[in-house]
Amino acid sequence: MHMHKYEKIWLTTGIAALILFLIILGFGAFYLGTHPQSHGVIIDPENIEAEEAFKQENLGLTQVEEDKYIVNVVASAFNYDLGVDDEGKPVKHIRIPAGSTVLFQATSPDVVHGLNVAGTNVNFMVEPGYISNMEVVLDKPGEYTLVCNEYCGIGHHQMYATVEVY
Amino acid sequence: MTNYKETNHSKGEEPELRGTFTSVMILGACIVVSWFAAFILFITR
Repeated sequence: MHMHKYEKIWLTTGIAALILFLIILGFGAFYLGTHPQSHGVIIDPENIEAEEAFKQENLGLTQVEEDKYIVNVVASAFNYDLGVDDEGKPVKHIRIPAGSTVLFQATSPDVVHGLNVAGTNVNFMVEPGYISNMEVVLDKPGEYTLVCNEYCGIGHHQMYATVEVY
Repeated sequence: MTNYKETNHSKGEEPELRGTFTSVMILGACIVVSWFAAFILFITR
């Protein structure tokens, strides 16, 4: 079959790019273990407190090691439940030292929400029936807004809290 | 009906593909640049 010289060049380039990107994808998936934030860890959405992480007293920020933290969140219409403070008021502001490794764990008892700490890589869907999690290193000090970026109903815009990295 | 005997190909001439080649390479460059832009954004945040 006759092929034009230019056709050979762009076909070679295209196939090489395809192979390169598949290698990158495979490296990420199989070597680094990257996976969707919700990857089949299931929970009963009508009884989320059966899961240790989502018991009322375990919600919010917990320090597990010197520079390791866990943030357990229940995203529901229309609230991010981060537990309560000493006075019994709902926590809407959490403070994390810069450079900490933070594991966000979230679930929803009702509809799909989008958990996003704006300006960071923390951005994932929270689906009823599943536990979504994502581990990140927060090393840039600042005040970030935790928002819902998946339209979840009439009060969608009222779902927010702040995450302060100091 | 198209008369195939009239095409460039059958006369043994190469079709003119320089413009096509340039646009394919520009498109490819755009894809590569946007991929790296997203990757750098992911790494730095």
